[in-house]
Amino acid sequence: MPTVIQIDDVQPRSEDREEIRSLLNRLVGKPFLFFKVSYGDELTIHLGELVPYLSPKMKDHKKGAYIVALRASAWVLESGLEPGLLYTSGDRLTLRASSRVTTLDWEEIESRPIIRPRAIVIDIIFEATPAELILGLRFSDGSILMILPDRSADPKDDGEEPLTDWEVFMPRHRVLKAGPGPFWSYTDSRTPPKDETAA
Amino acid sequence: MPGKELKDVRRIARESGMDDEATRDFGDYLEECKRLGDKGTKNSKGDFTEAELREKAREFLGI
Repeated sequence: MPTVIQIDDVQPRSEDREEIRSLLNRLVGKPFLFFKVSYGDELTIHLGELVPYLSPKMKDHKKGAYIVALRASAWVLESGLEPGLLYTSGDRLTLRASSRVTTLDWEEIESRPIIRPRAIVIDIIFEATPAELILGLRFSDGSILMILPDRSADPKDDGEEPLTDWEVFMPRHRVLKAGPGPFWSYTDSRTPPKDETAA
Repeated sequence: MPGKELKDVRRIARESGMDDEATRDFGDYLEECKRLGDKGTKNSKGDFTEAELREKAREFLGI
């Protein structure tokens, strides 16, 4: 019987696929709020209820109770509102011949209605290989977002630990970090990290 | 390379004692600063140099 990690638990490092799947299943049922581009051209997807930032510097802004942060990963988004149109950050996927493919500038992705507001996450697409953890979100409006780790986007030989491939911030100050490789962690997001990577 | 700025922010945030949650919010704050015209001098996109990031970290933390 697979172990289910409770929300207040922590798991410093793991390769257990059932456990990470159980954590990701917490996203199911959560409404899409908005895309936000964070510093470094990092796409983030805000889900759940709106909550305030803790910093007084961001007191006029709200964020999602759940934040999926794509770090430097590539992504492909099929809009449920524009069937057959794929938005992408890169060319990693072999795209369907019938699909139209386009890229978005960073301002457009925040303002354009690509996913219907309040569309619900109805399914998690998760694939674990020895090399990476791939995450996808399927929404009730037919939209699908796939996150594809792209190690070429992470500068190497800079003396720094590698970036994670993607992260999910959750309520009760928990963060799920995936990658690089098949490793993940689930930790307290209020504890200053010594090593960001799950590996 | 897209990951370079992310690593810069992570490094400066850690130097400043930020946890993961604060680091995530700090990234949003930096982007908001750029949007409001308070841009850095690192490149034409308005990204911040390391010195500017350290200053922004102090500003964000209110110290």
